[in-house]
Amino acid sequence: MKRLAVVSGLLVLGVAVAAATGFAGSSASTGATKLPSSSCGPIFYKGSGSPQYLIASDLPLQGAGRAQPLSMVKAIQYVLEKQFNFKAGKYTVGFQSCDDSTAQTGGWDAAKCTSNGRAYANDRSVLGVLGTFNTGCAKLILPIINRAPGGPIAMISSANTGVGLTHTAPWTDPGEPKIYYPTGKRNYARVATGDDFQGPAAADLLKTLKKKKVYILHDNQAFGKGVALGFQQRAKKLGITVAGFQAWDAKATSYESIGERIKSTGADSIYLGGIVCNNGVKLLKDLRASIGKGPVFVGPDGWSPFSATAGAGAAAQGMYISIAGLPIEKLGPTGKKFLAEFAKYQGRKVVDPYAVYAAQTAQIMLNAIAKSNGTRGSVVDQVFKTKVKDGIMGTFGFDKNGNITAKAISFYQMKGKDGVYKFFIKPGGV
Amino acid sequence: MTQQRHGRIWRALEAAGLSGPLERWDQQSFVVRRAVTPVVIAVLVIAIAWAAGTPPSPALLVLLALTYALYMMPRTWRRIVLPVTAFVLAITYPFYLDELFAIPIFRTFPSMDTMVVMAIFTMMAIGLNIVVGYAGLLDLGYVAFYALGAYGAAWFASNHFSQVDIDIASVGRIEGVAGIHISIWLVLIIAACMTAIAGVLIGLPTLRLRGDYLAIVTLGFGEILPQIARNGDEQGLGFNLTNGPPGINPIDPPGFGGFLGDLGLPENFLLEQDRYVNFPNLMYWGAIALVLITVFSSLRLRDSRLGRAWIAIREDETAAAAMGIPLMRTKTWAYAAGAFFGGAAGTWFAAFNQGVFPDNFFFNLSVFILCMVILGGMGNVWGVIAGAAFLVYLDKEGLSNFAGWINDTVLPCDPVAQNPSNAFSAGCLNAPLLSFGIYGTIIVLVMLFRPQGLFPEERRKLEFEHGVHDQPLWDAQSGAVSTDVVEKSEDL
Amino acid sequence: MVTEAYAHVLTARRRFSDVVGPVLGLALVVVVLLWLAVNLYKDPYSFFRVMSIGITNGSLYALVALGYTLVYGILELINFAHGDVFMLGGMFAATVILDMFALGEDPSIGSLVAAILIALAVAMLACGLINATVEAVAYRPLRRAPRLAPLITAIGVSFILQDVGLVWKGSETVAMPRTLPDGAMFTIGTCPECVRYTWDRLVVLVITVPVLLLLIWLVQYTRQGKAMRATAQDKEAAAMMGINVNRTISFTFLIAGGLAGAAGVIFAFYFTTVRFDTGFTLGLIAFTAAVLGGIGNLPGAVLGALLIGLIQAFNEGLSWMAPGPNWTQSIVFGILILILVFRPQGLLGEQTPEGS
Repeated sequence: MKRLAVVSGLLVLGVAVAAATGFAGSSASTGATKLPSSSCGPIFYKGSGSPQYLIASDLPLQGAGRAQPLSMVKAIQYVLEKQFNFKAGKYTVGFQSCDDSTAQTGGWDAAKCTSNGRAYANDRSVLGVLGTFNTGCAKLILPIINRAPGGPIAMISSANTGVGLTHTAPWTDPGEPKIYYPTGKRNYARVATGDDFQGPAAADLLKTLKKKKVYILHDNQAFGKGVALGFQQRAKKLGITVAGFQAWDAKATSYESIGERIKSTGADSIYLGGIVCNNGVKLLKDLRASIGKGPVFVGPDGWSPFSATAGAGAAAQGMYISIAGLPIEKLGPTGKKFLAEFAKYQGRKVVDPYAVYAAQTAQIMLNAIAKSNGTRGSVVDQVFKTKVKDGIMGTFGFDKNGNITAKAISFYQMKGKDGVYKFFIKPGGV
Repeated sequence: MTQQRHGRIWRALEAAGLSGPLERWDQQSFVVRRAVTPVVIAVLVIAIAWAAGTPPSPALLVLLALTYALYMMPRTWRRIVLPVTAFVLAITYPFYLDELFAIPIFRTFPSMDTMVVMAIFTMMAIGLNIVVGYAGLLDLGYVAFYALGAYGAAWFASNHFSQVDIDIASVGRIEGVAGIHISIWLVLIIAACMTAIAGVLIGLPTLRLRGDYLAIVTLGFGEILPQIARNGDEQGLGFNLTNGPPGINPIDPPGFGGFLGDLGLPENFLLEQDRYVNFPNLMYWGAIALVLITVFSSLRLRDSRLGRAWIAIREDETAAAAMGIPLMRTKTWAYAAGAFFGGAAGTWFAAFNQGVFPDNFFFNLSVFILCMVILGGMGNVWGVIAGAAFLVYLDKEGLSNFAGWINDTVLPCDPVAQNPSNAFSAGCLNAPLLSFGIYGTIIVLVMLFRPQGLFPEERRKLEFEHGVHDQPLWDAQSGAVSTDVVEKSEDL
Repeated sequence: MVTEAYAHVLTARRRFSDVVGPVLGLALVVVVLLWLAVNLYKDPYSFFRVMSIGITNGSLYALVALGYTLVYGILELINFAHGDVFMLGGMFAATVILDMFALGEDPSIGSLVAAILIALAVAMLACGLINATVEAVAYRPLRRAPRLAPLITAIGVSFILQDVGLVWKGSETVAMPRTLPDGAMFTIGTCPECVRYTWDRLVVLVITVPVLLLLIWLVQYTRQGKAMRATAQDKEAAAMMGINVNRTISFTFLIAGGLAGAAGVIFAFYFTTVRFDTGFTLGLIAFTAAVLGGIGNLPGAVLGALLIGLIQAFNEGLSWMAPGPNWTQSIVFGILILILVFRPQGLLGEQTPEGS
């Protein structure tokens, strides 16, 4: 009797709650097939009917650094809506913003990346992917969408800097980049300049600053270590003594001991391959406290946004930070125009540089779709044939590896709460 | 009798003139009442919901009918029918997933990706259950075995060791790239054995330790191994063992290859003749097969001589030793068995992710798996499966869905202004951020109010209720390090 | 009670570990000493600079390690949540620094001292109460449960406390200004190659040492301390002598929490950052220190903490053949494992908290 009461009670409860919240019905759709809502947002499309094809962005939309990817999404939406009016040539195109991060990790997640990759491959209406933000995620998605049914899906990234994605360097893994393109056909291009330029560019900078001995620290993450290795190669070639190559632990309580270690080597400069989120502020403060005011800090674009690095106060002053791309200050007239209009569109005056790059990738993708015959393979061909003339990021194209031909590394120096634009160099690589 | 049972309500109903039918109802036999009550309630609720504009989905009706059938059948039948139904439902899950209705509050049924992870974690939880549940050895570093299994897949089924070119029945390898490429089925066995050996190596020096010391030592290993994975490249170790922070990818996809493929089995799980087969479904069925093997082995082990020795050690180490059970060897076997399944799960996880990354392995994961075992009921395989399924669902989808529901209906949430690094901001709850606190709460609540777990094993329940011997459960003698050291201190 | 056959196995294994343990330990110590000597010879100033960092960190670890050891001495429980209580102490201090006093870099001495004292008072009291509450709610009901039950519960509590910190301050690092004066108190040698002992390191000692002395006085010379020692030795006998065992245990947790709170304040002022998971890593390090010194042994915890602090600093700071910061964690846990396997009673032997 008791059992009966319990069972029926539970049943009532379950059914009652189910009834209260409503039974879901499945909705049928026409036109493009929607990507799964588990990681992708709704289709962004305001044209007539439903779109024929889809482009998707694959970015980490959760976690502390999500402001940047979110403004990139906004920029893609801007390009699609205001510049193309949801039409690429004769095709109507919608956009879905997909998330490759989880709230738990606060960053990209391997399972999420591969599952997104399979979703793109299986959804025949997806013609192009804009992303990813993280090289590690791209390494997972590329081999999947490269073998997609109906030909490889074109992917253009505005933020990946890992070298192995497109070509080899002394430190890339065996088999790279071949392993990411199992079909042998390249389907990936990027407008960001790779680590084999960003790291070495910093070495060139130190040479011009007449530094003789550098200590290299990295955050033991894929990006930080990669860029540090690139720096090390170039520094050795330029005759700068590398006094040490060590990692800093983001969870450590203090970095004074590392500071002492650096101090005893007598290094006059320190390269910090890593990102500011990995306890970078504390690192700068502790290092400065132990090594004194002399040695100069240099870091890659992981130390942006500058406001985060500025949290280190006096310790951050004078630090050089490279940005793997054209600085906003150096944009041409088209770029300047975009800045002004996009600032209005997003309702915020400050435009993130990555939003600019994302807008450029969206333009390239949509133009490629316009010129294609509507198949995945032809979109890839068109992307590689792209010749941008006086576009948002200037005049450039892609080489056979998918790298941007107009490589640019710009250097900023921390002054007060912000970074001040210093140099702009056309880097020579390793 | 009736009057007493219903009291005031009864009198009220009587006054309303309803006493006649109710009395007749009360006179019905128990079986009839048991059969009719749920139907009446269900029909009423569905009718109300329908009237309110939400017709019931066919899947809900099928589920209700199924539950009802199980509920009505004699207990002896149910013992067989229930597991069979559960198994069939699990196997066919991919086919009816899209037809399912929305769960209230938690919204979605687990997606296929979640189901694969669920099966993998179930395997690990059952493996950990051998160590913690059967043998009573607390292992806080189980993630180390998981990591080793995953790296096993990366070493034996990828291009990582490109110095050599070995190919044993591999599937889907990328042309023109060297490395060790072994069929995933062999890798599963190789990696699991490798992990079991690692378990023995870790176990031999440490298993002499008392329960809580052992827990700490395993925790130490669980912290060291991921660091080795992270530092294990040329700069750290002098040779490239784990490829350091970027990890190793891509890993060859599972598949049956040419010969078995001709027999109708999927040749390659990832793709077949330029056509995408459903990778998660195949991975899921593979994982289910592995879980079945794990469950079977685990149950057979429990009932074997070895399993009974584990339980004897768990209940009273001194008595077990006195009865001639070799403590060290028995405990080491528990470790090896637990590590074996952890390693196999890790291999499958790596194959599913198509890569291994050092960030995937951290201490919290050990606690997460431990939480599954504790929630389900230490020692009981079925309970552990339930615990694993529930917690993985919660972790992967449930929590964020729940937070979404709370934010949509209860809180004045403004998702645009939400700060992702705060648990509460702009009126929004960010539940996934709090996940480990929630698992911690589950652990504490279970330990305080139902230490035997939700579905306790009968024997384990008795241990918790009546205690074992008069000494703490896992120790030969409190205050001493282990049996052999007890002997030593007496010598002195 | 072991059967004949098994006793044989035991003796064999005992002999094996009896030989291996000391030999391995001795060899390791010799290697480490040699390595230190070479480093000292190569760059003596750097060596002493690193050493002073190690001692400062070690004295902070000591405060946390003492909490582990106190609780272990009385309950034989590894209070996994202790590190997180310490983290909450740091958060209290952060609130005092940032919200109450709104200190900037280099504040006036008066406001700095006031801030430190208030932070100490608030954090020690609050953390003591939190720790005692945790004991009463989560551990006391399990006093008769199997031994691992409270340990598992402690892990759960640790995660809950981390979430408390996370809800309170968010998941990002709480950064504070460097408020302690970092000028040199004295220098040895000619700068910039000199050994500088800075004022902020002195502040750490100025807080740590009195707290330690107070603790020793409390345990050794007060009635309550006597009750603690009695309870640690034998709970039943202590109860028969009229000692309120539950209250004594609560008091021990209160003291341990207070120590963690003080450590949290020092951490916040000296290291200037706190994060919700700070307590986990640091707690494990401090626990290793307690085990190294001999868990349950108060002087042992201090000795172990200083050693761990030094080992950590030498590993990260010395330039000749030091494995470097990315191996710190492995080294600390390696020590933990070696000690537990070969000398579970720790350096200072098997002693009860009274240190007799």
